[in-house]
Amino acid sequence: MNPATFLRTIGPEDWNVAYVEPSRRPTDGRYGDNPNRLYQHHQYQVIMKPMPDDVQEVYLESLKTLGINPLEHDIRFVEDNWEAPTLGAWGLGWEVWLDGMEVTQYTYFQQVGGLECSPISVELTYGLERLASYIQEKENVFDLEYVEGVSYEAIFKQPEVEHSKYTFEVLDADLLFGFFDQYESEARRCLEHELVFPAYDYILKCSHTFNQLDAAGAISVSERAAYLARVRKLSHQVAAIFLEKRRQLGFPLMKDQNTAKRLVKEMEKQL
Amino acid sequence: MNTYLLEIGLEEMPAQMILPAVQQLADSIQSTCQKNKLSLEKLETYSTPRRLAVLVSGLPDKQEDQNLEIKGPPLTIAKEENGDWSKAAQGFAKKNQVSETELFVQKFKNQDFVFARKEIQGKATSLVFKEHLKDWIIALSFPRNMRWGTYKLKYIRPIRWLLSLWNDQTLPISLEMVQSGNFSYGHRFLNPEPINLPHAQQYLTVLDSVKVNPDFENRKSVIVEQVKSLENQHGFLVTMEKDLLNEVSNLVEWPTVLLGRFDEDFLELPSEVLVMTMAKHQRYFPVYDKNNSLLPFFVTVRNGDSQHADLVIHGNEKVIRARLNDARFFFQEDQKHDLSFFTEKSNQVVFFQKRGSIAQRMARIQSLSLAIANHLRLDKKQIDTVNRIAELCKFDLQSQMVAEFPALQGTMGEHYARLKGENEIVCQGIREHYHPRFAQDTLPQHIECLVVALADKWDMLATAFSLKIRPTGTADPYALRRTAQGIVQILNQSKLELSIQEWTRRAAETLNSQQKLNLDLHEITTALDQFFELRQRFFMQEAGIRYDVIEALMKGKTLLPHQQKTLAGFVRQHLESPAFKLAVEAIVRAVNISKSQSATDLEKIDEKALSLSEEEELWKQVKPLVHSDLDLEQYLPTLINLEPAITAFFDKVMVMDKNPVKRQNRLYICQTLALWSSRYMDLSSLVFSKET
Repeated sequence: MNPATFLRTIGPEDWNVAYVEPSRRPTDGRYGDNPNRLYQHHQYQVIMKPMPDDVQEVYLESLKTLGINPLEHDIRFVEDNWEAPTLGAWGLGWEVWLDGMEVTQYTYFQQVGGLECSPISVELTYGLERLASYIQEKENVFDLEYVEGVSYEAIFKQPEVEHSKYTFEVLDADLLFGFFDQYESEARRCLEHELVFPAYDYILKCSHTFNQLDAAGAISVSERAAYLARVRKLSHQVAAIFLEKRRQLGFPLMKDQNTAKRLVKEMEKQL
Repeated sequence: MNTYLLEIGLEEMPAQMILPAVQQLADSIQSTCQKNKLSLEKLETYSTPRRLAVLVSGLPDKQEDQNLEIKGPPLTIAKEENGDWSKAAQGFAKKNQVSETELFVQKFKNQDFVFARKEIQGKATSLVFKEHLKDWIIALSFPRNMRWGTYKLKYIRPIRWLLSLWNDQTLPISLEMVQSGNFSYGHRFLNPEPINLPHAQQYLTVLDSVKVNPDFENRKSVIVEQVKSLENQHGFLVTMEKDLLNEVSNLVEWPTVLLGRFDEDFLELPSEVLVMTMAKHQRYFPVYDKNNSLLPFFVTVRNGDSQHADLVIHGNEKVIRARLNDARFFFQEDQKHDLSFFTEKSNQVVFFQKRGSIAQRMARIQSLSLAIANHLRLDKKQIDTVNRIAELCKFDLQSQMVAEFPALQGTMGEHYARLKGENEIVCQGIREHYHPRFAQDTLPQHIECLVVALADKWDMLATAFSLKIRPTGTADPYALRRTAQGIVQILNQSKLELSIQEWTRRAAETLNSQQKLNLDLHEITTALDQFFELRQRFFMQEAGIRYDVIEALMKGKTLLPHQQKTLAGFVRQHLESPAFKLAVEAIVRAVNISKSQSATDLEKIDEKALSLSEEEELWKQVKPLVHSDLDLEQYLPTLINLEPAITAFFDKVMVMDKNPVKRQNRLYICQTLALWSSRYMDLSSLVFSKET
């Protein structure tokens, strides 16, 4: 989870961003053999805080911009709640279906880093490969045209094969368990110095290492919970420190600075 | 008469929460009307994914007026000597907001009291409603709530509009994010603009004009009708599973049924995989021919009308093709390997920490299965089959297909084993060893499969309890209750001669020695015995067995579950008979007397010292019971036959005689009776009503 999502959805400050995020899921690695399953795919992620009241309409307008006219299709909001247990984050929302295909994960964040969100952010994550395969009428993700004259396969097949081979055959679990411990302790050291962004980088490394080990089948059911809890604990800490540091800065990203001042004082009293 | 309409407009709600929510809303309105003595003719509920609505008709203009006579202080203190109203009377009038001229005197229980006459005017119904509107909306409770924007309210999904109409007037409600109005919204895409409602009674017509069908049952029947016409047109059968049909009906506001197809080649996939992909992932209905074989079609329900249906079908076909390609990929990949590849792989997957790998778990299931099979004296061929089932029972957990569709565990194992030429009972056993998965589920068909099903469950329970994992309250993440219930169900229905305590202990021992754990076996088996006892009690309760009978059977402890159930059946036939009651009382007397003596005093009987005819007669009848076999059918008749002799014995014979030999003999007879009887049940737990 990008720090621009995880950290910035914490606290009262205004925040509107959109970016392309390469999203890695080691368990979905298929050596580039599967037409739809990828070790790494791409999401267009949007965060709006606070969320506008008409966000659903805004979202549907964005589909129109992509050439998808709702009157010619069947667009549905089907319940799908989202949770990131390592990050102490969850939200309610939907997967958006376009003629039966999930093209977007749409979530109203309720908690991040174990903190109640206020105000609530909306997160829209457009599945770019899915949308592209729809628009380009392609069955196999590797047949997509990435940009004019360049195929998806020419770029991404090799890393898919290599990452899969590494994760399922080559990965040295003992070494990665060691990495996990090291990243964790470095994250903790960063937190002791209240260095939020470096700490979060190490938390992400922990999280990815865990995902790799998990995909390699090196983590048992009962160990799983313990590893998740270790990363979650760091996430809770980094979230709390981030919020406090933003308070100390006077919540500079708030458009309404009077409210910012009031909140700074109110939170100070609670400390 | 008046009509009131409330519609809460929301962003799309989860399908299964819609109907309970609208029912709650209706209940709140109904209860407000009752509490305020407002009659109503009709209360209708409407709902779609985007709205919860209640339409109340036949409402009066106002509550009825009431003429009240309110009792005040006694006359003795209500008037001054000069006849004026006293302070007490004035205070009473003031409190009830009536003028002193409206006070009068009336007798109450032979004493004069001051009364006030008061007329209470009924409130306008719309006013009563206005006071409750907000509560009706806010009080709805949902399994999971959310906040949105900057608002405080927690609700199922964001509220976007409120329609609140008293006949043709807006009845105002103000929430932090929205005010009520006299407009609704039509279908999200077909009629996105707000639509005015001239009168509450026109709800259905107006919504129909903007392509919204808010009547759940009607929407469902529209879907069923459209599906039927497809069936007639094409001569095939569409299976609409009840839950899926309800869910689909709650995913749309304006349903249009569409037929799509997929490549015939995909039919080579097991039908369970195809149905799972269609029904669970895509909410499609599968299509069959007259012989119940899947056809390469699917039925989907669009939220909208039929324009551009071809595009929508095309899109859905593309999705199902991609999904089935995925599934086929897994199916083909899995088949590239021998079954031993997967069992080998199980070595690397930890079951529970310090409790070994999945492969080791299978080894334990195997050794327990073989022990059970030997105990049940299965023949050589059967034992070989048991062995093979146990060896393979969890291999498919390592297959790609089960990783993708966990619900297909067992089912994929069966298919893959058959493709590799395993024998038919083995294939079935791999699927069926998970049975019974719920209360009404079928048992494994063959004895070989039953044995492995039991071993699997016993190992799971022993493992969990050895790690102190126990269900608490509603939390039972490893489904241990269901697992134990499965064993109880199997033993009850199959009537296998297996003792729960015995095999619980064997399962714990197997785990202990395989993992070299040094467990406190006594603690684990005691906890498991208690756990099983609760499950057995539950099982008997569900079977409608009376509470005291369950208690009596459970205290007996020696009977197997199916024997308990059989005996419960016999007891039920006798519960009302006076002879049975007398017999139970007689035996309980013997049980109580023998309980008061420690067992070591009572080892033998001196038959020569039996002097009274009643004790001789009773001993004659009791003696054959000493080493008798368990005979459920004869237990109650024997009990009843014994009764006259026992009663005569207690009438005529002094058990606690001064002579120690006589006393010893008589206690011995009582104790023998008690021991015999308690092998079946604890009769003293039975409760008889006084009349019988």
